[in-house]
Amino acid sequence: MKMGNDILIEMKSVKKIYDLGNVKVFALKNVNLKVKKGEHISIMGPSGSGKTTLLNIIGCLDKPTEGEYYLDGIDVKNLNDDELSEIRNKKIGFVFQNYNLIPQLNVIENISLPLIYRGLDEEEIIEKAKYYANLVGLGDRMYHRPTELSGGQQQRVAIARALVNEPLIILGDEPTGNLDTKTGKEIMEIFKKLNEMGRTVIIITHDSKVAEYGQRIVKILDGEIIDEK
Amino acid sequence: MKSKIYYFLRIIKIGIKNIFLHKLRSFLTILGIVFGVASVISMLAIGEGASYEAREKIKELGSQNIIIRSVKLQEARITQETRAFVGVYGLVEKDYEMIRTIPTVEFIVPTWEMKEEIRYGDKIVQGRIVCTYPEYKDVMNLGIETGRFFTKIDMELFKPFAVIGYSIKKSLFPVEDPIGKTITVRSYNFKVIGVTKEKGLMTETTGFTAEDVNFDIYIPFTTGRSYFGEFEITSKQGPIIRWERNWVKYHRFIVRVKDMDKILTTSAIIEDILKTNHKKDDYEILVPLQLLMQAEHTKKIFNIVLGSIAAISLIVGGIGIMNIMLATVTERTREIGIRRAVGAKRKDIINQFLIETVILSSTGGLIGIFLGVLIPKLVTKFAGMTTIITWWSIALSFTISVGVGITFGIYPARKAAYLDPIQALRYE
Repeated sequence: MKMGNDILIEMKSVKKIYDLGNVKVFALKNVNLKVKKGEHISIMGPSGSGKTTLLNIIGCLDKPTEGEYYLDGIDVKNLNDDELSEIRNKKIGFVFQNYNLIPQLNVIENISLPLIYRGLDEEEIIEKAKYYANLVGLGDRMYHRPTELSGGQQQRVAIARALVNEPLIILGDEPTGNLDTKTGKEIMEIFKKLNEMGRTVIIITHDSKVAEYGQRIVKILDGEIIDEK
Repeated sequence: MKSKIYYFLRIIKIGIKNIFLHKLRSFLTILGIVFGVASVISMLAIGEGASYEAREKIKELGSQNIIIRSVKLQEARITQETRAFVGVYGLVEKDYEMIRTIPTVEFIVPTWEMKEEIRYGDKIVQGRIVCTYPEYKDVMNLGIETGRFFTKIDMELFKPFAVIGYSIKKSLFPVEDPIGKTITVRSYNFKVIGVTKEKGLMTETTGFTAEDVNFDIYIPFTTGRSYFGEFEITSKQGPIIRWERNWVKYHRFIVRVKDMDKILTTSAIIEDILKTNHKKDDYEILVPLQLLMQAEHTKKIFNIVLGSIAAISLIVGGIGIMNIMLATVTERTREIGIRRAVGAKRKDIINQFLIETVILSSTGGLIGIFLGVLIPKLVTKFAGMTTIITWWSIALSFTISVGVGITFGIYPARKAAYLDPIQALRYE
């Protein structure tokens, strides 16, 4: 079921309810959202507003309790765990606040992680991982461990890892949250560049300066979208 | 296909890396498996060696034979105190004739024996004179080192020929060629016509008293009878040397049965015959086949006991591994979340943790095999026991150690795979 070529994400009255026994928590109450290909969107909201839940659903780590969600024309609600994993692998690239690199692996190995699960050949994996390491400016740090890198460098590794499978969407969950202002800016410049190269970028933040990089800012509060501009 | 191989190679590489990250912990984890496997292999090797020895000894007696021996009774010795008394015991002509006519009996070889000094020149050696039939060589599987065994014609002609055991030859003829030389027993001369091959010692494992057949000398039955008669004269050590005289017709019958299947029935018939012929229990029936079966049975029990011990130690080892893997999964929750976020399926996570567990357990298995091969070698070297390391015991214990890895790795691996990726990502 294709929703038109240029619409990448379509959410119709999406709800997410956590059932904690006798209490039901409405993390998302009623979310309607459309994202076109090539857009750069910022999702803003205070903590507890449901923005992380929204990001998890967009990133196919979680499924909506109610409502419909189409990603690239695919109805996510009916997918099983394996199919969700495959979508995360091929269509989504995550960048987290705390980088989430695997400490035992070096830069190249961290970047190549998504490629392993795609089942590529060794040479192709190394070649691609090296290409993206160079792209984010870590060509001379390829065999370092994450602990030997600065925060900004670690986040670059994470971005390279998010890019290596050439996904449709780059999802950033407070990607500058752990970085100083200057480094944060550098990272946001990379996202901007990626967007200019045609990638769809969705960034979650509570920092309005970061949000301003987006062409559109979606504000969320108490599980509902309250403002779009 | 090629990418699948790389996929697994990469998982194995990561697995080894993780194991080496905690060297001491990994080592302690696999100790259970190491000792389990080592004990399985070495105990099986020792057990196999012992039962091999037993079987060889029994086979030497001939599994198609039934051996009947005359037994001197305690009672006879007591009456000996009256000096002039002549004891009577053992197998008689009637037994011989009756056993010979049992339809399942192919032939019967009688012997008459005595312990005596054998002399050559100025050399003297204590040996056992066995007066018997030419078939004795075949029923007892005697090999001939040099020369020949005596024949039927030699026996019919009362030839004073002797075939000497390997140890006799070594004592009397350390350098000379014994063939054609004359040896002396009591006052009788015998011409050496052959030497038998060296034979292993029969030890207690067979249920027999030790009898070194290498100190035997074989002479034709007729010759022996005409020279030595039917009286067994033995000296009795004590404050005064006493001479004991016993009338013994035959010392042993070796009965060759036509068909292996008929051995047990034949031995039952023989037992009946002897029971009716003898008032006293002055005989003994040995069925090597039965001993063989008993040896096999003992071995089976031994293996079951061993197997249970091994199973317990391997299960304990497996639980140790599972324990550590569960801790590892908790430690690496974040990593699992990351892998899931970038597209790892549950199957991929299971593969990773399962392979890691199998690497651990099979490394333990390999070290165990090394020790298990080394220990029997040391036992052989220092305790002089025969040990046989069987290939199947190595293959079996390695398979088991891999199996333990899989069995005890499944639960931790599944636990890892079914973690909620969102929570795993936020795990601190």
